[in-house]
Amino acid sequence: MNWLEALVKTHGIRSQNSADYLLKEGLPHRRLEPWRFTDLTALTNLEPLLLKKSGPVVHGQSPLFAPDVVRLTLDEGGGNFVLAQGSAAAPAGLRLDLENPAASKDLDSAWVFQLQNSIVGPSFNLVLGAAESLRLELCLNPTNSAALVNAKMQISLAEGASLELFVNIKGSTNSLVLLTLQATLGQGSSLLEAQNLIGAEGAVLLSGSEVNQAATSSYERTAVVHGWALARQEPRVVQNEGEAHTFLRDLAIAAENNICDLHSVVRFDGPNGRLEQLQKALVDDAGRSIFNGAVQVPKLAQGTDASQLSRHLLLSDRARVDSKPELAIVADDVRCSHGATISSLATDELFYMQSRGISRQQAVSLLKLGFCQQIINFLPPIAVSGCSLEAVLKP
Amino acid sequence: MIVSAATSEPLLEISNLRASVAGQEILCGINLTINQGEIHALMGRNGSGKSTLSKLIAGHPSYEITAGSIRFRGLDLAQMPPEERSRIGIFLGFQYPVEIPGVSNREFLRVSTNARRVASGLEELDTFSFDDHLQERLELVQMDPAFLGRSLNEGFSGGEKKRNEILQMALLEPDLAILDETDSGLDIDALRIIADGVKQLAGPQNATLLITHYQRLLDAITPDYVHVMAHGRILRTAGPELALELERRGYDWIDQEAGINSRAEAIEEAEHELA
Repeated sequence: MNWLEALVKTHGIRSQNSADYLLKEGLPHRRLEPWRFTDLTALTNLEPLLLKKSGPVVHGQSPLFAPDVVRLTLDEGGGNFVLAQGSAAAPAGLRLDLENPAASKDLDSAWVFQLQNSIVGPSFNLVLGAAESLRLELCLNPTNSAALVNAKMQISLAEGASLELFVNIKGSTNSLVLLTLQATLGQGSSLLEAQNLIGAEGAVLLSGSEVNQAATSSYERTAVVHGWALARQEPRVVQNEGEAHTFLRDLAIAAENNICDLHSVVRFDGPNGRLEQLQKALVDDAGRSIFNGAVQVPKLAQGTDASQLSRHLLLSDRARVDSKPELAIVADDVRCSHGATISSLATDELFYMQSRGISRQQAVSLLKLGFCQQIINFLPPIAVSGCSLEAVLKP
Repeated sequence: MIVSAATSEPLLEISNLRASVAGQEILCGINLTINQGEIHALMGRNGSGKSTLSKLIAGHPSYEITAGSIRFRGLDLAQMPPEERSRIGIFLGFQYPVEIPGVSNREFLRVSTNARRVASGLEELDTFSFDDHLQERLELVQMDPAFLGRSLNEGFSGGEKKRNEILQMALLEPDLAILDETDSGLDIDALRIIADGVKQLAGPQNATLLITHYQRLLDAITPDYVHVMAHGRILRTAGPELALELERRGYDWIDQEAGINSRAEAIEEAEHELA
């Protein structure tokens, strides 16, 4: 029995179609372009038979009490979402025990979705009606090591609806966290998604999202990921009719032997769409950051305004960065820009700080924090409460 | 307030200092003594070595001392890291202060102020006490408090950056302030505010070294001594009248008296240094 087979058979099958697909395709390998730089050793080092569904994950109230926030966590068996202590009442459109067998769409990079869909796990389905609004927090902090968390979010926002979604995950040692989001945004709706994803030794995160935007909708994603042996994120956004706004902000911190891998795709299937994407990674020790940012602007997407900036800070000779902007622009009346930088800490910045009595060690720490702050500033307080990056960034 | 004991020992004593960067000699035997209570002005063409000297005193790692010494209150600075130099009372006001996105100006000021205070045997200031202290100092440079909430120097105009430098000087209360072309890029009003701030901070317990090209700063702050640098050496030292003479006659006559014949040669050498 190979690794995938052991995983699927041990933890129950959610979708037979996905399981069949997965077992036929097997694990991704380096000959596949989207996986060319991704070392899956951390994943296969996890022993499928030892992984256990996460138990209850939140005790007490949120560090930052917000009475209007609906807070979801897992039940004792780790198989279903439940309302956490201190949560606001669930709205009518939220269903917590829904098993939706619908497989992911036919995407090139759908392996993560197929993996998640193969294994039984908690899911929720949220439908917000026209002009409704909600603040929703997902808090998944497994207490046991070798935990398996397999969370699926399905969201539909009607015209003018507004959702703030906070995802706080703190992985435990040797845990496997699978997290997907499928969202449909109606006209004029807004989804603000903030993810704070903190790993642990040997822990692996595989996440994917598919967000489909109608005209005049707004999708804003801010994600901070650090501390995972392997973290692979695959956000995919399609502006179905153009005329929408998309903001993607990602920060990865890779130290020791961590691998942070971000493969994003934004596609404009209509005119006058707008994208602002900022990806930053701080890479230390033997850490590795991989960024592949695809922006697809077909001929019908005239008037698109898209910018993509990737910035990497290398702090060690052993650290490695693979950055690949991938702009496919066919339309001729567009404004598309991209930039990618890889640098180490600037001597003049260090000297400036030291010349004010700040030790080199503290200056390095301040500069690292400053580098990250540009993304962290977009996280709402509820998404950073209880998990300070300052502690992580201290030398 | 940070108070240092007055001594008869020179505050700064530079002896036969030679220094290089990337194997290129830039300072070729500098001698300079500064005592408490004195204001010195250092003038010279671009590339004459003025900024190099200031960075060497502050401890920039790119410059290497190849001969001679820099002593501050009798302490040899050669092996001392920049932060230690700051903590014992040396301050460099930068010609081009760096912009550091993401680092809060207020937090930077608080951390640096406390580093100096702890080194001086004073208690660290908590956030509230520091804000009170900061408010007083802000008035000295007439700086908009809104700049405190921004990232360090990010998006500041040239004048705002220079005010922020003087604000740092006011907070750190150095024994020796070296101001590297603090007057460059300032309009008349900003220059007056900066000059007033520097004058208020200058006293019998400390000393100031002004690096400048222009008489207009020295109209506002009268130096006790004026030094002229060229080709990595101090060629002439005199009283404030020397600055006025330079304003009238330029630098060629200094070169000629020092036996450097060609101005073109001097410029070429300066440009080479800059490159």
